[in-house]
Amino acid sequence: MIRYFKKCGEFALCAEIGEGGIVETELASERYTLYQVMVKGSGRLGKIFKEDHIVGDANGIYFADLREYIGHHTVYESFEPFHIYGFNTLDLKQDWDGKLINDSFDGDDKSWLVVFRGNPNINGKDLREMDYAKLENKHYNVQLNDGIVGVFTKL
Amino acid sequence: MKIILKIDEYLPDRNAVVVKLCRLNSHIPIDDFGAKVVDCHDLNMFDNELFIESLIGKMSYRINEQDNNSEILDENKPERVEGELDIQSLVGKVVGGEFNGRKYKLLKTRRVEL
Repeated sequence: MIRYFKKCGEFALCAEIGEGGIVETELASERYTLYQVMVKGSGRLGKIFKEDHIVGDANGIYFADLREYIGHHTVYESFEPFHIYGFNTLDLKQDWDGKLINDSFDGDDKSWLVVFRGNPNINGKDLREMDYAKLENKHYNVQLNDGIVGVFTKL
Repeated sequence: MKIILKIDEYLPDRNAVVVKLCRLNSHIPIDDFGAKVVDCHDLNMFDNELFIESLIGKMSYRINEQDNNSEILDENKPERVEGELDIQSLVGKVVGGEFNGRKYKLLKTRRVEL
């Protein structure tokens, strides 16, 4: 599995790309991921020594709120080759609201937009995977074009 | 990165050691660095070699602290570069970056205005 990471001002983005059938652990001290988007493949994530887990599948359940996993050691098992993106806080005391958007929306200056997959067009601008933008207090016209776009707001 | 350490004192009652540590190629003598009391309860006590290895693993964060506290030469102060690749514009500049070891690669992102 290959891990990628990039600080983007007020937050950080990460990615994990790997084969099917692998198992990876992550220390609680390294967990800053608040939201996760599965753009390819499937797998499951759980807290170590707990039976409960969540399943991610790029063809279905591909957006997950991982805030309850902060402070826990975790284990991830992939069912097939996968590609996951994560939205990370830089400070565990700083919470963020996160959601995927399906349509045009009104933005605000506490929010950031991130393109996770595809080539959406927003306010007339063609975007690509891993583009991100700070939003303003204005309306945003969105053509998703089968893309996956998230909006994250500082709380 | 090669690291050296020196145990100044063993505290058997506390099961702890007093340790100094620095880079092997430091230009400052190891005795000039501050000492730290380290509990041994979570170190590998199997033999000398594994003990030292686990002690270095536990204390290696001090190297970053030493680096961060060291003075930066004016000539070495880096400038930040962003944007589309233009190698010619980088020639002659001292630029900064972070080395994350082999654990993470740099994720390619692009900030846009909407």
